[in-house]
Amino acid sequence: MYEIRSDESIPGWSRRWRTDAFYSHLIGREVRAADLSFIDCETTGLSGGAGTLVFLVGVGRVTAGRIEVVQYLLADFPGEHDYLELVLDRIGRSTVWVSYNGKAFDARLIETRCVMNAIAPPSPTHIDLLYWARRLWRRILPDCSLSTVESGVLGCPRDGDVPGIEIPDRYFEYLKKRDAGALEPVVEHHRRDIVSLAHLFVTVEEILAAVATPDSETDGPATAARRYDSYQLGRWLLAAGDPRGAGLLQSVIDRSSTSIGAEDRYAAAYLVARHHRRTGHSDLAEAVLADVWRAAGSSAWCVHLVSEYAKLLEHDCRDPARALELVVAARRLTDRLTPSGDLERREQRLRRAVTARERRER
Amino acid sequence: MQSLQAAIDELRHDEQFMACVTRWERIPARDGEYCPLPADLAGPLRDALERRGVDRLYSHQCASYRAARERTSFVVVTPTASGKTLCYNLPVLQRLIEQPSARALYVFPTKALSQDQQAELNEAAIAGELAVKVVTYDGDTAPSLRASARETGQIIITNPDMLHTGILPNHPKWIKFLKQLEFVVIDEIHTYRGVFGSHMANVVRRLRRIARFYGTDPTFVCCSATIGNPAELAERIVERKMLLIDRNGSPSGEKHLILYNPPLVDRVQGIRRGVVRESRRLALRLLRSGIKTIVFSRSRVRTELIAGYINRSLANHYNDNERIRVEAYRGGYLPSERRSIERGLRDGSIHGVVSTNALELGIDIGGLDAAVLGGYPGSIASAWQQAGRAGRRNTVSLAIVVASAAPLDQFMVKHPEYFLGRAPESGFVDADNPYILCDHLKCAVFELPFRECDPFPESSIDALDYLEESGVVRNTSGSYYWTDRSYPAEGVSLRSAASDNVVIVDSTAGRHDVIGEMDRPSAKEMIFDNAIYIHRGRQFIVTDLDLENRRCTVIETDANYFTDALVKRDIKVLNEDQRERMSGCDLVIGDVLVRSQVSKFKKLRYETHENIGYGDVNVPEEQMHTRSAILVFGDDTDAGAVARDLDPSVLGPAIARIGSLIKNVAPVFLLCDPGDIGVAERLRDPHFGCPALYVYDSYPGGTGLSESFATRIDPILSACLDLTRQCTCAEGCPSCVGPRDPEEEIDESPKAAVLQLLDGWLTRGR
Repeated sequence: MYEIRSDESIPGWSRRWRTDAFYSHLIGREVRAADLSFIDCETTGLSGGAGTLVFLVGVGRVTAGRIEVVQYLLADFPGEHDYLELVLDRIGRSTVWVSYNGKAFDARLIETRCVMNAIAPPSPTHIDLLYWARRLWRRILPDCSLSTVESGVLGCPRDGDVPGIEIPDRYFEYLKKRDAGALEPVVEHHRRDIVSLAHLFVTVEEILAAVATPDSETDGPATAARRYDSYQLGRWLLAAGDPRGAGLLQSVIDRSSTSIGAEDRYAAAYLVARHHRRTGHSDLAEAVLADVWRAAGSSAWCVHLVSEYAKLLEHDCRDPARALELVVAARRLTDRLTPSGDLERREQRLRRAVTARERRER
Repeated sequence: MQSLQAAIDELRHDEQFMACVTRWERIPARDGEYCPLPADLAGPLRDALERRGVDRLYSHQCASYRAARERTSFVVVTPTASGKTLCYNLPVLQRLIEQPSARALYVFPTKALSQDQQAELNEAAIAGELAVKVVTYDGDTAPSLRASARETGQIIITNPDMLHTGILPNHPKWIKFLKQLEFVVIDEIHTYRGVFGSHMANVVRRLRRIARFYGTDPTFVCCSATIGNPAELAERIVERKMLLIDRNGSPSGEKHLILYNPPLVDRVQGIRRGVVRESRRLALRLLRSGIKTIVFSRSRVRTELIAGYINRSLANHYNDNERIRVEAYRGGYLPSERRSIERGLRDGSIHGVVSTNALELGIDIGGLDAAVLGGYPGSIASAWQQAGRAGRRNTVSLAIVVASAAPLDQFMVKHPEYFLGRAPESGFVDADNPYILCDHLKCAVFELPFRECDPFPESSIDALDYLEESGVVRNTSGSYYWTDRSYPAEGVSLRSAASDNVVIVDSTAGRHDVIGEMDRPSAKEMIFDNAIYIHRGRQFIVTDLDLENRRCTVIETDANYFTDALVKRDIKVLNEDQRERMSGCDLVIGDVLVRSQVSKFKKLRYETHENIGYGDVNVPEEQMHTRSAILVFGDDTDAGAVARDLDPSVLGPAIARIGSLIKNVAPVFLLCDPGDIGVAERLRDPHFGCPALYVYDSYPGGTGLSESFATRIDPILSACLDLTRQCTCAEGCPSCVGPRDPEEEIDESPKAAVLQLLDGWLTRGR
């Protein structure tokens, strides 16, 4: 086994976190930088089957704003057992893993290799930044591969990088001929992957921090310039029970310029209004709905918005008459484009409710 | 509604019928051999059985239970309806109750059968009441269910292909299952013969190797239909000593087997009534008497025709609610249709079925009382299988074999002692076929590094060294490791036929319904543009066959004819790799192109089957590149010299029949199945300029059989000669050169012609 060490500074890190311990939004608690392991693997194939091996495991650790990357290279197949034991020992059992697609691939593969070598596989806390990249940038970037995210978000594209498809064959070459030259580009590619992980980690933390404390001064110009999909992030946060998602969705509603998805405003309004109703703030819900539903006339969301608004008027405000007025007006607006059985039924039901009430009041 | 016994008596007194019967065999009833439920059977299991009316076992079920409990691997030979499933389910379920962490793997040859079995295991309250988790794991299993299947499935049902590409290469994910694997059930083991069997044997080698890695050595439980050598075949597939349980303890009623030759309609030319018409007549007679009947026919088109004719006849006579319901059945129907027909047969709402050999085995279709075989199905084993579909435990049953005009059928029906006395065919497997072994070694190395001590055949090391030279494997520190980024199992197919089916879509009146499917090669021959496609009695005409996108569009029609394509087959030499003077001829090995081309089709009127027109077909030819050994009767060879002395009208058939001999004899030497090799003869071959006989691998790319044939040509040809000389038949029979064919113009018997050529050729040099 060979160890290759390197280090470089992560400017975003020192800007963001002066001390070693900080609150991580991704993990949801205070952590020390030393507890984080930025992990990536190079493998001999893409399948998770028994014949795919991990030949290069890299671990990055940040101290005082600098990331030290140690890359462990498997010298040859027979040494795999000792290699795995040593690597897992160096990573340590109580660290938090940060990876890119590691949950589905790297960690599964390491587990398989452990099983094949009769070693107890690790089961660490694992933050997979791919899922975050999808939430934040799937609709903005052409794809969510690490290299696309690097050039599109982190602003540091690579040139002359070895294509992924060549990597296994270079390792097999190396095994046969022991020519380190063939492997150097792979090692460099792998190292950069890990460094990018750290940059990406900072970026996502910054975005989440900005969402959490929108008026904070810790946001430098770097954050403001970063585009991300507020709608998707807001939607995810809200669904995960984080009320700050509502704030983010509100910003989507308020934006006058078009969002990534033309209908994000209406979708966001629907989700926010529903959230407000559930948390007992019908007045806030009404404020959102009254504003938006008419504008949504030509969208499929109109029916959802109107239904939500009608429910609010009928049940929360106990005013079926106003609800009926709303539905009638909405149907006049939308039926031409998208006749809705829902609205028709709601109108009939409301008519019956209004008539019943009038009868009672007489 | 008449009883079957009454119908049988009626037939016996029917003079016209009896005039056509060449043999009426009465097989006496057999009592069952029983034993009580095993004493160690767990309470809940015993209760579950008793609730389903099972309070004792057949002797073969007992013997199976005992063998399984003693962890002896065995093969049980079970004709249909003899309670085969209990032979493996009982010991497995018992073990799972005793030890819930134990595991069992059930392997069925096709996906359709696997799903039937799961349904049976689940539905059949047994597993449900006992809270045993049974999961089918195949290509259709949703990804979200796969992880839970691996973790908690106690009985996993799968098929060889999934085992090969899905389970074995991912064995670390299966560690929990494999560490506790105690039983492997291989059902329908007789289907694993020839090249397919060789693949399966290697898959089983890989499975056992991986099981050993995890410390287990499962017991193998195999079920076979009646073939010539069940124990030997099972031992070749599993590579362990197998206990043979072939004493059938299930009772059966008296069976009547009738061999029937349709009457002559033209004595001078020797033309008989057609098999389609006769089968339908006999079936109608039985069905109208209320007897549940199955008709087997040799092709999909005939199945539809017979079913259609029967239903038309019934519709004319029965207008009340007691309609007799007859359905067609074949591959190509949607799975839901097949399930519903099977169910209808089981519950009795369907009274008759016309089927291809799809219903020969496996699927439970309840009890039918009579079977009509429209033509000899091609092997003794199949014929008994099909006849065996008629008959229940204690009632009488009837099977009528109706001969077609084909020489083989005519021979069978005229020589009943041959048919009745012949043992069913044996199955051969060569697990060490170098091509197949090499493919599976790649998979094995991917699964676990290969050590010199690994119990694979010795020839494996040579194969591995060859693989190392091509760079996919690396030998270091005493082991071979996989060094390629590909996934080897994906590149190895266990079966020869590509399974990309053509989907048949009904687009009548703007519809878009998928009504059926068909394999690509058959699609070219059956559902070309303007062909008539019959599906469960409904007629459609093909408007567009789109092979690239695998779609065939049809619209409903009501024509008075059906279509039959004319297929031309051809074989062409692409290159010669070797040419040697051997055994009195020039033996060439090389690549060939086997082609079949549909160019025209006939329109045949229903009922009369007269030709009322032709049409053109425009489909690309079906091509297969493969390897072939070619016996060339060169001018200066012994074979060529003898051939020159024969009249050309005799030479052609004689060479063709030597081809048939080779097809019968070579499998014993090459350890393959007759279907794995193809033969083709040329009186004047365009490439060689003289008579030639091709013996080729019927697998794209070849599987080493031609090469193997070439190294064994002397013993094979001698065996052919001995077989012909010693055969007790007068003129030729299916066991040697084939029966006389009126279409050939040989004055002397075919046997004499072959002997003249073969004997002359082989003895000339000596």
